[in-house]
Amino acid sequence: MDRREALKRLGVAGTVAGLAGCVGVQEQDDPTEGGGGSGGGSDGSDGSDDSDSTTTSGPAGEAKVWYTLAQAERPAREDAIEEFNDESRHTISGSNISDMVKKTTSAIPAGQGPETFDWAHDKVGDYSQRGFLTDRSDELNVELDQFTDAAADAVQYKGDVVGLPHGAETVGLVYNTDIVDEAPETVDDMVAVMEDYHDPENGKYGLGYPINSYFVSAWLQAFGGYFLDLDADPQLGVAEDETVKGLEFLVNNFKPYMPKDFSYGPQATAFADGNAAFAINGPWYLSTLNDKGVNYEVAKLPKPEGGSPRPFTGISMWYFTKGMDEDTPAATAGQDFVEWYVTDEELALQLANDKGLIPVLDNLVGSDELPDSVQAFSQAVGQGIPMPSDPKMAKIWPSMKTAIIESFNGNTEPESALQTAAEEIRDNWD
Amino acid sequence: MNTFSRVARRLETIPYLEKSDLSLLFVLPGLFVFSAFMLFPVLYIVGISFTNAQPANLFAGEGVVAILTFGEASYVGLENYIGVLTDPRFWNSFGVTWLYVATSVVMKLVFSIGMALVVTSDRVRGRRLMRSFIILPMGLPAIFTITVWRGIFSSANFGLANQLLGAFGITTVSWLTERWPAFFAYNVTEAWLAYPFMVIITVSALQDVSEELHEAAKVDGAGHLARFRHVTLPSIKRPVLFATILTSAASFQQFLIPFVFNTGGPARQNELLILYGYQEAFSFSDYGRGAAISLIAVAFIGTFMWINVKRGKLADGVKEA
Amino acid sequence: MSLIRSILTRTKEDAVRVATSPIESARVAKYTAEGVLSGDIPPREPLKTVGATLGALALVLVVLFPIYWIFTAAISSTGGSIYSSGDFQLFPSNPSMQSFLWVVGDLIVPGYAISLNLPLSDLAVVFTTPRVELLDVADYGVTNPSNFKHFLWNSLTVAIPTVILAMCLVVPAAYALSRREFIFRRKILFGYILLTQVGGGLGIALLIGLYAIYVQFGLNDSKLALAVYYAATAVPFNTWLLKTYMDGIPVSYEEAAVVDGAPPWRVVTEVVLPLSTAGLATVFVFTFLTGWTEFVVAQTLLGTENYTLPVGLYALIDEYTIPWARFSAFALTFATPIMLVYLFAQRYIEGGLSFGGIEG
Repeated sequence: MDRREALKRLGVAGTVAGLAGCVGVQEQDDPTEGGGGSGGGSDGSDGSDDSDSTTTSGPAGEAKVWYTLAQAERPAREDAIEEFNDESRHTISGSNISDMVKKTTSAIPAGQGPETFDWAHDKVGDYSQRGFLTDRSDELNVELDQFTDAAADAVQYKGDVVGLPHGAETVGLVYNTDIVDEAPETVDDMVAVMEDYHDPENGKYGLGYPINSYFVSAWLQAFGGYFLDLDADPQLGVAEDETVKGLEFLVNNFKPYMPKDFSYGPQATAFADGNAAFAINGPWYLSTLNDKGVNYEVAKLPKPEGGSPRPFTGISMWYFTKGMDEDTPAATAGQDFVEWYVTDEELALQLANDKGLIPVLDNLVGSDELPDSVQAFSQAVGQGIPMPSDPKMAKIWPSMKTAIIESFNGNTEPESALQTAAEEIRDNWD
Repeated sequence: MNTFSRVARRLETIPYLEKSDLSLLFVLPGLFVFSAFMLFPVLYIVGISFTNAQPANLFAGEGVVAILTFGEASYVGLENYIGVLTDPRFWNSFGVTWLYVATSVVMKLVFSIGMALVVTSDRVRGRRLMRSFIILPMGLPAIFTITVWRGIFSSANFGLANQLLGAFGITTVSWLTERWPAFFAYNVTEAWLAYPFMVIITVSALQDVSEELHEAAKVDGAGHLARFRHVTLPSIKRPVLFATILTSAASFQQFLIPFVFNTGGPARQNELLILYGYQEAFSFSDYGRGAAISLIAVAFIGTFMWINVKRGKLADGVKEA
Repeated sequence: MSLIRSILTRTKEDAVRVATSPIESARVAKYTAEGVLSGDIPPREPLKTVGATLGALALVLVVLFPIYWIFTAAISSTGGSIYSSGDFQLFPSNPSMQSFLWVVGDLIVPGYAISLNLPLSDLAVVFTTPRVELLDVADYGVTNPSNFKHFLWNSLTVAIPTVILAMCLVVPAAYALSRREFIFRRKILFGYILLTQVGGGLGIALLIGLYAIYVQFGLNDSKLALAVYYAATAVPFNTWLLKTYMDGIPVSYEEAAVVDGAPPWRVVTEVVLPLSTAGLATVFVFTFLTGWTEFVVAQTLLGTENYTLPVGLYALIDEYTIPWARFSAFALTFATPIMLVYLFAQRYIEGGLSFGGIEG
């Protein structure tokens, strides 16, 4: 490279550098965004959130909250967080996590976890035992008795309050109003309708019912059976006569009217396509039905002869993680957010209306402001019992799943399947 | 001569030295980077397999270092290994897995080589485009395609496979609730998932075959089949053999397919080895045992691969070929 | 430098060729038709070609059927599922591109206000570039488009370093293992064979250990660390693969070059490497795939901002409701770059021997 070239390049470089210092680039705001912003401002100040959320004192903190929500539900959650951020001195940042169990299991012990996360209450025992959660009963600013008993129980483990509940869920009966006139009160009524309608040759099924321990718990426990009862003897109730009777009832009465693939996809689709008379499913199912344009109504589960259905209910709660151990601003921020979220009646009603979430605030249970489907699910929750969150349950789920699926596939009799499961569970408890 | 001057002279000397340990330098960076990342995790797994680690005791300590030293889990010696080797389920798993490897590898080989030949044949137009399309399954995440295949093999009357059978008048098969239909379903899905890998390798190998050899053979009057056997096959032997070994290892370690389809078949009969390990570790929360199973699996497949590499003389350098 | 330039020229040629291929094939067809009619070309020849092409096409279509099924799920309106209790339909009744639009999101180049401050004064000259709207999906009724573009960027910034790093590690190693004798050679080879299985079936304990180490070094949530990890795990397999390709190159070529007086490093770059382009391209494809499609470790190590495409894909599912239409659209769009990478790499895979350059 000769000198002239070198000088030329130097010159260019120099000019560019000089100019760069003087140049500023700024992104033009999207002209439409400004208008939207001003509209949103007025919504937040509607606040009927008021009296019991006493504002805590102390420095402003930043907290991380994790949750797992369907794409359609995330905007509502993000809006709620924004609302809180506007009103409070704290800043909450939310993240949608796709595999919550795995992520919390690896992140929390490594100190990388959130202050709080949103999940069903079944992890309360397990995570407490592993040291992932922390008891905040001393710092709580809300009273637990404003929640339903079941919800209040669910968030405690051995007396420690490790979180606060914000919603309940369970499965109920959904029926296609084009096919079925009114909700059946008893299982026999329901079977009669299914018998009429079921015609697999022509693609018509009586019932679309995903089979797993959670979904079928209603019937297994309908005749007095139980999975785990720490106060009873034996603690493990899966092989007791009453539970066996429940499983047999389930297989005999429902299996003949269902599609042969018992996992969630095919069962849910059968009803969602309008090809089944009944479905047993939870509130999350309703948005799919709405999309597909099925005419449906929700009812509580019908009674079997000689028993009463007792489904497992899940309580969605915000857990207090180990990150909230110390009284740091972050912990206060997390707690303030959780307390605000669970006590805000406006929010609960809005979520009930939009997403079918069942509120656990005593004031709202059975309230007329809830939409019909939510009321029906709420009644189903009333029928049920919360899933035990004791760590021993963790060993029960896999064996039960095998036993139930095997019975449904017809490969084994319910009694021997449950016996095998019970043995396996007892082995693993040691 | 000291090492430095030897390195300096390298630029001028003949490549083929009798004692050229310096070439080790070429390999070291890769080896080093790999070890840096995988060495500790591997040691960790070996360590954990000798403990009775469970979620309750593994995470009991404070902070990350505690996890790295296994928390409060205690040393149990060979208990995990003995427990595994005396478990009849383990042997069932073991047997089924080897059977699965045998059947799926045969299927994969035949299908892939056939496919590769078709898309490199001179007579087919637009083969480059076809080749790109058949690679597509590899670009999708495995768990996604496996979920789709599960939908195809659904036991319900409206499952796609059943509808296809119905078109031919055959009654619906309960694919996933019976042992051997499920096994068949696993094989088909495995073949579909693995063929892009083998096809890529075979296609590259086929295109490396010298045209001149083919011409020479044609001049000698060799027909298609003879040319295939004597010209094509020997030239593609090494990469294809290597791919086969790897693909058998992949079959051996298959986890997602049985997991998503029906968690190991009716009553865990079709539980392939890694799924068995997963059940122990995750469902029953016995990390130590799960790790022991994984290591046993690695030992077996490692031996298998070692034997085959030796037999296929793949480890030989080019001069000994 | 010249290597890169040659790659760029070839890419340009490829692009041009692809664009003109319909014209090219039309011309060939016309030529063949004329040849047959005039009796120069026996009719059997083109018929064999047509037959072979159709046969191959049929085979490809059958094999790709599940992909087609995914595609139909993607273009049916939301609420579709891969399970449909009705009869199988070859083409959905209300096709709509909405899911794909949702995946792609808005393609809007925002307008920029570039201000040039005149030195030594308080004045500034302002240029405004217009806001270019290529695609505004709100027009098609899609609110809340996916984060595909964000994840795409993340994936690219993970996959490309992975490939570069892996190639640097693998190529010299493969060359040495193929052509040189040195101490530990066999041990390393056999060791690598075993190590190709590491990271595959070692499960949860591995993941926990790995995560713990990364946190210790403060490396979690770093895309570069993830790329290095992928490159590391790719080393054993790809070194072996490349070695097997290099074994296929006869030593005589190198010896000929040496006789011509070439110094050893030139022998490598101008004889061995060009002859092993097939292997190199294959390794390129595989390392890219590792960086692009790996999911488990990425999900464990990365935070939400840095999620790569597979993790983002999985975030679409909740426990029970899988939005099949969007999910499928996302997955298919996710797989397209692989196709492009392979299409691009084919050029080099077909390099083969320089003598009698084979047309693939």
